[in-house]
Amino acid sequence: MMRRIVPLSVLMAAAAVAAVPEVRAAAGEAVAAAPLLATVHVRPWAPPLLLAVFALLIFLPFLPGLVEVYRPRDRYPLPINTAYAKDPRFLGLSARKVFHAAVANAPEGEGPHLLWLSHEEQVVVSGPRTVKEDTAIDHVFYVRGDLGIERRCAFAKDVYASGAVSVGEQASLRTLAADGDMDLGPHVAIGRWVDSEGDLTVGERVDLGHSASCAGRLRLGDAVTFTRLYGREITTPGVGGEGAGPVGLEAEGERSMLKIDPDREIKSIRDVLEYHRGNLEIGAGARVDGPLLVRGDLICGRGAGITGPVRVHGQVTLAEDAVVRGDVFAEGAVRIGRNAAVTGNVFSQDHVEIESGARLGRPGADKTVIGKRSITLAEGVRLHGYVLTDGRGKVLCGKSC
Amino acid sequence: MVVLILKIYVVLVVLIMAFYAARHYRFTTNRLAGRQRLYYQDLVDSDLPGLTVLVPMHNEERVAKQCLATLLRCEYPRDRLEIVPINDHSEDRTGEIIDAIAAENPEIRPLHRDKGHRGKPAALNEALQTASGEIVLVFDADYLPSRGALRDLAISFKDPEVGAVMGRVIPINTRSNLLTRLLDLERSGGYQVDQQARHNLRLMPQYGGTVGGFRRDLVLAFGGFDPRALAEDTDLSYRLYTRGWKVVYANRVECYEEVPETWEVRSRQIRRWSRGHNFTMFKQCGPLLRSKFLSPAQKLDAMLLLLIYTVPVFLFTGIIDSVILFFLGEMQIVESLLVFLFVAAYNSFGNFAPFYQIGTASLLDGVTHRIRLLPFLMFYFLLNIWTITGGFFQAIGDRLRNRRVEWEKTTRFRKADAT
Repeated sequence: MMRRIVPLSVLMAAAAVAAVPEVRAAAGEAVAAAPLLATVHVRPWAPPLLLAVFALLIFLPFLPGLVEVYRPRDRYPLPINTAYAKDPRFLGLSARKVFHAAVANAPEGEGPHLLWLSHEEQVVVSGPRTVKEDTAIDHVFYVRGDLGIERRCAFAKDVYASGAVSVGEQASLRTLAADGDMDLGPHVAIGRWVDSEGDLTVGERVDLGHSASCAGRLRLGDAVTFTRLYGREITTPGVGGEGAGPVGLEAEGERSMLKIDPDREIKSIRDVLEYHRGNLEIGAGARVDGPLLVRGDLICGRGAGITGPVRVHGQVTLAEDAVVRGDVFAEGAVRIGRNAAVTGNVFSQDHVEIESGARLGRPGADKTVIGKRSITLAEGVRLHGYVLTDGRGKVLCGKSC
Repeated sequence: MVVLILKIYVVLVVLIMAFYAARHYRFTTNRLAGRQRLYYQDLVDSDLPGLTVLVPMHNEERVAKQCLATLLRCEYPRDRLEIVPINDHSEDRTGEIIDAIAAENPEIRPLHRDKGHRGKPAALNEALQTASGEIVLVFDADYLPSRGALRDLAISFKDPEVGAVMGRVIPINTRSNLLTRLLDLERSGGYQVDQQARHNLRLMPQYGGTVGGFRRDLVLAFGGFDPRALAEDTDLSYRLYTRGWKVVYANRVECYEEVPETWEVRSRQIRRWSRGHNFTMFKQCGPLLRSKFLSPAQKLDAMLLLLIYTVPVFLFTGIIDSVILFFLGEMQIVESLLVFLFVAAYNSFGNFAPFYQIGTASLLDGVTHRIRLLPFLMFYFLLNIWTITGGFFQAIGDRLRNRRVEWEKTTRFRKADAT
């Protein structure tokens, strides 16, 4: 044993000597005076101990990893929801499936049942009914038929009705799904989401929670707050009659994509679209044929028009009566002025402000308005499709405030 | 004189490593605390573009059926969708499998190639000539896209500045062994932090050749893919950026892939990537520096990305250089307290920058136990230093001799077609 350790200790000492120039110099003198081993008095157990400590310190960082290798706690692939596909009504539709499946397996008749939703829950199954004012309910509510909720009722769990739903003022609900029309009174607070198969009418100062969606029309009251909205047509107070969409605007479909001629030599992006390095101001009443790429800000004057998709690195301002026949993509804030119109999507990494009388999208087509930081809608605004913000969405106060 | 050159080279290598460490930290802090830019997946639009999905396949009988079945499950208007499996000189049952599926699904239009050059760029070029969609998405044969992946990728082309899009790749065979788990960690860092941070900072997310796509007519107008390029994806990214287009990254468009399960196969793969990437580096350095469409920050990021497969070469040669200097007794290069502090700081933090990035990615993914494997990445990095250096010198040879490289397919490990 000692025979093996001694040469190793010599090697280690030599390595230490070689590693430090000053020591090397001193050692050189020592070597000249006497053999190395004779000058160093090393206890026989010291080198192996040193070696063991060294090995331990090297090994230590790998110890938790070895545990993970041999007793894995996290070896499965990152989970992907492979069934996921974008659907603005996903929450409402998937909740209905869960409710229907649970209730289908329940004993027949009305009354409370202990059913499996995502976990075991008490579900009260009921026929058409009206919940009296100031009632607090802390179980899931499944109604076959119409449901009336009087003012100041509080529902701590999910509510579903196969008919129409009317919610009185100041009521609060966690989630609400209805297969008929839905009417939310003033000051109603939604914790998570609401979804209707029919029309959805929202009173003033309602907090719509995470998502409000419907298959029909979504009418918003004054001072409503929201995060996501979806409806065939979404309007704020002051819009009258049937929505004809942007008046006099042709269908935008053909102009929504960048067209490139593959037989043409393309040296740069300038060869396929209108390119502006700085800011661009389009004068009142002027017409510009896109697609348009502006690396500064874009100001579209009163009554001006752009045909084709628009990409702006700065801010976008559409003045009164301006029209964009295509999509608008912007890094900065987007302001859509009074009675202005965009027939395509509006996408901003910042704020979106839509002023009174503005129209977005077109009837019969789904389009989207996204403002990452916030979206504000003034009165008389009409949109078609999906509205989303990561921040705060708000309908501005109108006449009723 | 020689000693002076060796000393200057050591300093240069240290500065390069410090620069890349700073870059890792910039990206990591952006993901942890910076402003996050949205991708376009939340756009809901009933006017979707015509789409062609290309799936290059060479001897892919193990995976072909499952890949096509998964693509058929995807949601996209059927009148605007075409799926083109490219049977590229296969010698196994790949062609037969494709034809059988195509017989039952009219949206699958196979392309059989048994003439001309084999390889992904050549196969894509031929398929582009007949593709009907204005947008083309590419998936490798071992990939399994989720149901919404096609729509979520294609929707980005509504933005007229977008030339290409890239989704996120997630290894599916992580349970196989230590290597697959390390590759899983590496992928997490590369996508969840690196690509997303570059998207957030408006730098240069990269098109990765699969789980992504581009505008068909734009690539045709560029003259198609360079058949000499092994990294045709990197080449396209740089051609787009230098001419004014952007590549966007879709972190939420996730897709499973199979990663190599043996060190030998991984070595071959990474050597091929190094060879291809460095070939592109020689080709694209000039156009990048001359481009009028990129800001200085974008050019810097693009240059650092372009040089990424030279870093292990610099490190490897730098280590050899410092060993030589050590035995020559010439290691005292610069002496000052500032240098000491710099070296101490780099040793404390810089060396671990990639580890912090990967750890952050795991944290963002909500899976933290796997972070315990981080120290093992050291061995993986050592392998990379060796193989990437080999690939670098092969790329120099390719460039000097202007030779065309034969495409090498990555070995598949799926036991049988898991349909």
